[in-house]
Amino acid sequence: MLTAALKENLSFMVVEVARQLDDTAGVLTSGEVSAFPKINSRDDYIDNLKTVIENRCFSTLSEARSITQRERDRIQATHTICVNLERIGDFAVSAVDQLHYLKKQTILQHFDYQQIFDILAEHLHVVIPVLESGNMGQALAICRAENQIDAIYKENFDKIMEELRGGKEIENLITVLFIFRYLERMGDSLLNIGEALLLSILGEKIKIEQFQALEETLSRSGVRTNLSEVEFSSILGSRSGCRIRKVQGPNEQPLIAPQTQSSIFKEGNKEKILAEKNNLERWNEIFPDLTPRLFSHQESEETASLLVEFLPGQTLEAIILKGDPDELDMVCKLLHATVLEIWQRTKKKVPVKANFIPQIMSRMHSVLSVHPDFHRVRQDIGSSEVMPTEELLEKCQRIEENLAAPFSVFIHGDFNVNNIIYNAVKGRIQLIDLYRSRESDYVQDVSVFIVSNFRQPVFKTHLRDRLNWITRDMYELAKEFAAQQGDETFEVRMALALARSFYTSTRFEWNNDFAHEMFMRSHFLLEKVLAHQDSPWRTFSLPSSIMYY
Amino acid sequence: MSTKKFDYESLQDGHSIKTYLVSLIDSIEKGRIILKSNGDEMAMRVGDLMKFSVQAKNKDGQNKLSIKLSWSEIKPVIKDERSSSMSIGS
Repeated sequence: MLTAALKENLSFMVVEVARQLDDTAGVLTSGEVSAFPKINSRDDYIDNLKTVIENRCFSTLSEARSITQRERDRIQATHTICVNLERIGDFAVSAVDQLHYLKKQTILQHFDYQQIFDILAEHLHVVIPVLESGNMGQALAICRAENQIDAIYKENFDKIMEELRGGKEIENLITVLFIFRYLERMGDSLLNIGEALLLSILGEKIKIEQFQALEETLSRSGVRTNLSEVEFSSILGSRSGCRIRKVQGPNEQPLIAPQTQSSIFKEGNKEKILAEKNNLERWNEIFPDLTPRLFSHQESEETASLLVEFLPGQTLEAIILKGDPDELDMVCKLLHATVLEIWQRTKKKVPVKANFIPQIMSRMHSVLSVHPDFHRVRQDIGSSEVMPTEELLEKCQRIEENLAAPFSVFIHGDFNVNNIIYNAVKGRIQLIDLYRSRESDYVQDVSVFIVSNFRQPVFKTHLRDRLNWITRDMYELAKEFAAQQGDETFEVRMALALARSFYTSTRFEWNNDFAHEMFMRSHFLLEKVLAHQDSPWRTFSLPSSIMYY
Repeated sequence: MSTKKFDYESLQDGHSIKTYLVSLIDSIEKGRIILKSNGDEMAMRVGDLMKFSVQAKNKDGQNKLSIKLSWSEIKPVIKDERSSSMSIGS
């Protein structure tokens, strides 16, 4: 719970900001310049309160011996609320200041600003009660008030523009526009306050747009539920630019369908979300039950969201790092069988290029932003020349143009150990995170899998051994498949694919030594490929020790 | 884990240095570098992959050129915990 002192100070602050807004509305109506000093001095008081609350929040967080996550969330919410209350206070002062430039006070009265003050007052009034009661409906109402304020702003903005077109009172109208702009920004701060309240209630940082998307997505999937009863667990991953949440009914009750305990809500980049939706549908046609079921999807102008089945089980990564050898062995065998079946079932006799080198090139910028020295420049050691990274890539790209895979398969696209789930109840492997699935070269999935093992930040010998044999077995499976299919360029494509995965993985690795190891392996492979260019590619032999650490 | 060390420092001219370097190149080609000190032998198996670095410095007429090879001998050996057997991964 918030300390009594903290709650008291926040209550004072709400009251003072509400009074400030009252007085501001009054001054805008009357144009009474004599009220300015009062407004300014109250602003100083509000600033002081903010500092006091901020200090209390930080000291509570640092001094409390034991503090629960819930308390931490409430303190964080309190801090966000006080910062935004202070901003509302500042906007009030700025709005009043504009009166200095308004030559004709009556012009302001042509426009309806009072509505905005009324909405702000109505919702500020309930901030403290919501913080105490955790009333989700009221928190959402505070968030949605911003939309109302925006609509009023838009209405007045249009009216100001129309009058400006008349060509009269231009200076005064622009001042009126500035005043409305400050009022509109008060709405933005009110939204931040509402979202802070959502954080204190849900224990999750969630934006109102995401919340609405979730609400709509759930209702499209036929769920009628009070969202305040839904449990959210923390963001599972967001590297792809999509926010992912696990959604669960109250007391872990089934929310979607009897066989499902919970579901995953993904919201974010429209293109990625839609790609995932299409891929889930495609996977479901090829392999029912291999990937999560799609419950519903939702699109807005810029973002989209999906509600998909949450697959219970363990990721392969968790089994590698914590499972016992027998379990891991069994899961790997299952994985091999699944992978082979996917390849055989989706194989199409159409040559396909995975474009590994262009994939490196397009991620080069993100690699260099994390590791600025991860590119070679031209160097000479005696008569030996060190080829710069760019030149090496260009030459390998020309080689790659003639190295299409002889057939395509439907690849996962991000086949790393985190995206492979073992469901012990069903006794089967399932795959998640499928937005990159496409018809492509199976070598891509194999190399991503291998490097996702390699880049595990574990250095204990027995775990490294484990990663190494998992790598070797997957590589041998692929090599054998290649031989059966008469795929003669398998090893050289594998070299390029591994070079790509090693190089691009460095952008996720902050341990410079380990990242540098991958950077060097990537260059070594590219140099090996280049050195072989005058011989037939079927004679290229991948130096397999490159895969082991 | 025991640590073995070999240390050698001397003055040479271009001709005699070449002899040492050629002998090292031979050893690398054969896959085994043998170093002996007062009868104590240190043998190193050449790795499939070795880190190779060259560093040079010239300061106030003082020159330094370091050539370093480093590698792990354990790397290519995969101990398969499932069957407790050892296999060579390359």
